[in-house]
Amino acid sequence: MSLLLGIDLQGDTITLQGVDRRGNRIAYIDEKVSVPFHRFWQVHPDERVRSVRALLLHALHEGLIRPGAVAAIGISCEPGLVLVDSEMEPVPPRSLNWNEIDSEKANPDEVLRKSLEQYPSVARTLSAVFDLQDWLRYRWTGAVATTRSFAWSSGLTRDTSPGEHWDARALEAIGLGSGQMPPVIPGPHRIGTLQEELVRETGLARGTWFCGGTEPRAARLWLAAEPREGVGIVLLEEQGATLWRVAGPPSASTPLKDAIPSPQGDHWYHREALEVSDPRNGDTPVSDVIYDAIRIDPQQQWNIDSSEMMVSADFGSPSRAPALLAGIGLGWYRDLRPLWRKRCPVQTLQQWTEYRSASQQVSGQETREKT
Amino acid sequence: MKSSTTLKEQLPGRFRGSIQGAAIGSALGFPHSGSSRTFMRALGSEVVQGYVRHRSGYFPEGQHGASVQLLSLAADAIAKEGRVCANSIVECWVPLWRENRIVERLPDVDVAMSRWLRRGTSARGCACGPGEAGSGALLCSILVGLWDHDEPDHLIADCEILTGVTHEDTTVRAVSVALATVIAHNLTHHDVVLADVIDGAAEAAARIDPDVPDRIQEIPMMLATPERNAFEQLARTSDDGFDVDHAGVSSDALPIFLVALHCWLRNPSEPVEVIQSCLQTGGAMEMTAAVGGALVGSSIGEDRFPQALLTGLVESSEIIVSATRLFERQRQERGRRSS
Repeated sequence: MSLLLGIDLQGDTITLQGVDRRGNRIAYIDEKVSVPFHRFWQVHPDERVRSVRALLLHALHEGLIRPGAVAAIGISCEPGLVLVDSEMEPVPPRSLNWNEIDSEKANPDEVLRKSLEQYPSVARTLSAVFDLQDWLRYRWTGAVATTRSFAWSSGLTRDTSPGEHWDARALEAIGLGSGQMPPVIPGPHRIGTLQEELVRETGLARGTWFCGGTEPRAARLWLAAEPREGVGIVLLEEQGATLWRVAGPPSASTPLKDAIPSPQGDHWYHREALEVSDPRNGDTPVSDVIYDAIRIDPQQQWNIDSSEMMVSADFGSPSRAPALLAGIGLGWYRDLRPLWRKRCPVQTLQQWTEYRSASQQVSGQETREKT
Repeated sequence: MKSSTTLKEQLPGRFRGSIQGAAIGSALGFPHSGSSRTFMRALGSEVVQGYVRHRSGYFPEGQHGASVQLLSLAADAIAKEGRVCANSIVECWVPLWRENRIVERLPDVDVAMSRWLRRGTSARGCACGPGEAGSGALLCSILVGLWDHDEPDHLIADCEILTGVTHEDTTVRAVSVALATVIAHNLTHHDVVLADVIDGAAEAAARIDPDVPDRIQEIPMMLATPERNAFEQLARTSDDGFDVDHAGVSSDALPIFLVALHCWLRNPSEPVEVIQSCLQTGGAMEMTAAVGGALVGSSIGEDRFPQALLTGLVESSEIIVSATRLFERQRQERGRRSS
């Protein structure tokens, strides 16, 4: 049985998931890292590559994933920044004094501008400017490409085609040329096959495709609901509840943080409200929206009408989107509608609660039987 | 003749002792580098009785390894600049490779230095990436311990600058900081207090890597276990195929540091004992003995080393001059800052 391997680098956790053709999660493993991914400036990019590789090897050795079964790999990763020098090696963050960045949240676009301003000689010798996931993909496949998420969040794309084409003038203003930026590829596209060294080390099949990726929030929004114009999705995060709506491309004046390109690039998610009523606190849910969350406290009490609140298929669990996007790249899902309507359908909170308690009972029974 | 009793009076001797101890350990281990643990144990105390010629025949008796070449040149660079500066250290090291004067290959340092050679000393980011945990430049971190012994706030930052010339790996950086911290501790304390040494090193390493402190904290327990068991525990690596019991210490920075620290703590005031037990660990014993020699030298000074070993070193006068120059510049810089 073939499966799709999804890699998710979010918060302080690396997650690997094996998803079958029907969208069922058949393998799952995660591991904490000491420095969260949003603090990309503190960690050498190869350190992240090593961490992901070590977790993958562990999953393979433990028999969680059968190496020969992996058909394609997809990824979602929090935005980062990797400057690649003329020898296709990453410029170490410490050599650019990134270790002196003391803010809790520094955006890659700000760090890029400041670094190139401070070290113009570095800009001249760069081969490429990558997101962290691009670097991981490059190390595994040797292919140079980036995602629309990174292109958009860098603020260096044209106003007429946001997140799709690099803006030569904007690049020139910070000392870069168009040739130093990787080609922008939609999330599900196949980018490259695994290098021989990785094949030998892991036992993954020769010719396994590594597809393009996206950022974790875009991945969640994409799988949460069928993307029809005007559909609203509320992401329940640690910081609060945020409402996003499906719409067309953003205008030139849209702030970078208020829009996210969908992984496929055919629609956008626009942030409509930063703080909406949060059902976790007993607030009445917003009507006509779908709720999604990566983590829900098991002790959470829902003091609301649970038949009214609609939640996504991956509510309260890591998203299967990175793996499923790889499946799209392989051509497994030519018609995507069954993906949202049948394989990962929206449900009511009541259905979700019942399903979860039932699955907990089953797993408890299995544990007792094993004991 | 007035005997040296205060730390201030002992300081020049401890400065020189650190660097000379490293050179003696390296010179005793250099001819046998790579030999098995069994072979080294069979040599017994003969291994520390005097220098022998390298088996290649190309080097004289008393020849130390490449790590001491780097140490000596880095000491000159720091003394010249009055601070730990990556560019000036690289400028001092580059001729070793350009003129092929390096006495042996140090695979990890070679990679970094070949990048520096190609890109020039003003380039950024030529160090080996994460995963390259070799110990080629580990010895140089003792210079930071000497330089910043009275300014612990600067120690980690300076160590990061020095280690960053060749390595980006967090384990190597954490080990370098731990070694520098122990050297600094020795220069500021009359006696070796086990808990202070271990806690200080672990605390400093924890700022860079979460795993290294746990390994350092294993050492006190290892002091009470049989030597063979302790060695296997401390020298173990992530590579399951590496047989430490037979092949000896691997060339990675962490096992070398742990084994050397363990050997020193078993006999903290006996330089010959420390270096002998380091040499008997086999494998990358040249580096282990150099680190052990530096540790013991920084705690007791140069006078306790056998005179024959001190004078028999190749370039012994240059090594003494480097150490003295570093000490004087350090004192001068501190005086300037305090005034």
